[in-house]
Amino acid sequence: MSDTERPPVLDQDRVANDFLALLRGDSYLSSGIAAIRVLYDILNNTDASTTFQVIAELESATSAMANAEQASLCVLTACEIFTRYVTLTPSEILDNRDFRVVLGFYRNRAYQFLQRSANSPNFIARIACAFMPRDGTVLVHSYSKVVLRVLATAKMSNSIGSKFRVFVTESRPDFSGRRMYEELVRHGFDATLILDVSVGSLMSSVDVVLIGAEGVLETGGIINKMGTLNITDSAKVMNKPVYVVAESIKFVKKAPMSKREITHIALYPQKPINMSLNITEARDASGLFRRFETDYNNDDKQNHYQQVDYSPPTNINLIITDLGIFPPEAVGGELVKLYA
Amino acid sequence: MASRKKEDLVELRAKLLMGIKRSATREPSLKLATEVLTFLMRLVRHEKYDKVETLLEVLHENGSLITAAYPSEFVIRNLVLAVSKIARDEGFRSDISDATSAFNSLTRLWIDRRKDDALRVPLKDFREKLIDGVRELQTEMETCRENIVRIGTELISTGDIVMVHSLNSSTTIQSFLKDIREKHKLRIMSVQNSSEPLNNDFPVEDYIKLCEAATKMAHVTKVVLSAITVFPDGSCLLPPGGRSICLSAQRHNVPVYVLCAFYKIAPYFLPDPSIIIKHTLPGLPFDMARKFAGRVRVLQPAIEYTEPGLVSLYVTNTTVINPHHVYRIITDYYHQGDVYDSPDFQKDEAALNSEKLGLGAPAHIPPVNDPLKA
Repeated sequence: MSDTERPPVLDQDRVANDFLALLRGDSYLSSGIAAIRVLYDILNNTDASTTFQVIAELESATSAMANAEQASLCVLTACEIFTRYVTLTPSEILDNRDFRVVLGFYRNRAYQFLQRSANSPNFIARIACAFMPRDGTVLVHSYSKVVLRVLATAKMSNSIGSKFRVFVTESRPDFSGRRMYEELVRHGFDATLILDVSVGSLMSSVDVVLIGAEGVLETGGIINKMGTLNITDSAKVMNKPVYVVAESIKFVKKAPMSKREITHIALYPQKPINMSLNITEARDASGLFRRFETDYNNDDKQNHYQQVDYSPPTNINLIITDLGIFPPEAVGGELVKLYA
Repeated sequence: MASRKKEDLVELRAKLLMGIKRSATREPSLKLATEVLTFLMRLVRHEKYDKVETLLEVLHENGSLITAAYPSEFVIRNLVLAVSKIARDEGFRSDISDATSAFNSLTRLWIDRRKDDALRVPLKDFREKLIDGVRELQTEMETCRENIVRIGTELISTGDIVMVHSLNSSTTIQSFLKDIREKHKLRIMSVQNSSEPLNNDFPVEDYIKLCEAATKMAHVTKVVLSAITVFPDGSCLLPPGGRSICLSAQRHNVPVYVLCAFYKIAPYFLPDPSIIIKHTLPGLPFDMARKFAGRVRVLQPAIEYTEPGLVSLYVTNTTVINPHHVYRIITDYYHQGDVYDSPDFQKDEAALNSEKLGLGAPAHIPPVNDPLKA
């Protein structure tokens, strides 16, 4: 290959650091959107001279970010959709001899995409507000930035006049639900932290179940933090509406045949359960979840847990995205449009 | 001259609202739909505008005013959105050159085409095309009943025992039954509310009460109902008693066919059915009303919300459709921009700033580096 054809070398560490810096800088920024932002910066400053080089750079950046934090499904899907969208050009532009015209086109499309995606959580919050009960209970699971935004928007929006209270599951073993609880209390919600195992018995007092998603699959089912399947199953039995809020960059073009296939799709490694924790330590509420984040020194290969699970479309009432509100059956059709 | 036209419009609107109010009982929806569409046609014809956006604003404003008067009549909302869709489609030309390319389908999701002036249709052509479009909608509305009957009668066969509900208030069901009676030999069972008079013009073998419907369901082969509104997930609003009939039908595995014209299919979802349930007069005997006054609250809802799983098929004027596929025909009549970017939403936009929510600052995106200028 000649010099012009070889893809330019991308500093993977720098990309990963930029990505993590963005996430650390704004704790409410979704990782998918942060990934797109990094890709946009790369595209904006690239000196690639062919489309092949551009795509290679973006793909190399994607893998750098995916390896940075634990392989996150939404980072991968966001980057894939971004790359597809940006490089989808009409033939009259692609035939242009001057690559700078094509590159300019790519950059403009990337800008539009990023603008649209950065605004998508606000749009989702706006349209999801109406589904929050006026004077009832909402059940949420684990920590989700989009769900937090929906609740905060519903609270602020005068037309809803919300006095609803929120039940948050603890979401062991990483206790991400506690983080959600602290955020909700900070925003002035009447929030209650509940045990993961008590979801079944408390479902009768819940009016609406609101969950985020790590990925929305072609079937209309969702991949989310472990424990979601329990919640959606209970909700279905008790006839409570389940609303999923997710940005369109989380749409994954895969349909799992069995629950075991989720690990292949989600690429989340199985994490070990911390067996060294004794009961007196478990009673210490405040520092517990922070301790869990760094305390993975257990070598026992038998006691591992899967981080995510799959909830089938029959358990879900509506999926609220920035492309609109869909019943789960409609997701496949929208995915075709996105990935066409 | 412009102010006189505006007064005419206000007068027309007032006349329309008075017309709806005058009817004591719930009239067949076709009448309401025809009146609303006539009003919208006049609006579209006489309103002065220089841009498509101005017309859309006027349309939405008038639509909001009428729907505010009758919030539980979804037909009004649906027709305003349908006319708005025609306006959007005719006002902005689509790129015919790459209509089949993937680029077009993906772009349509993301880009606001109103900003691209090259795609605008000249105003004079737009007016004519819009009026033609609304006229087509009117024709579709006039013929919808015959079409529903023609399509729906394919589902019924000789020897069927058909249970119907709300025969008195639904002219669609009346036409439907008249037609199937001519074609097939069958038995019709009509579920009547106790306060409704019997429809002696129309021959029905059995008149039963709602409380008997569950027992008789064991003998029934088909159930035909008329919807008030249908939502994109396949759920619907039925006259009171409809849901109980659907539940009994499910228990006995009897198919439920729901007749609905195109203007009853709504593109939006109903977050909470209880907020639109309006109550009709309880219809108590006079001396009971005297005794109950101030002590007892008698609820008589006019509408019931039914889940998608309870309906087998929806019969519209163009097709027979599975409840889970209703969202596919939404795009034929409605535009996504109308449903999600309505002025109601935009009013709250200022309040929904990330900073005000306490959820971080809005993202700053660095501008594009133009490679031609580098």
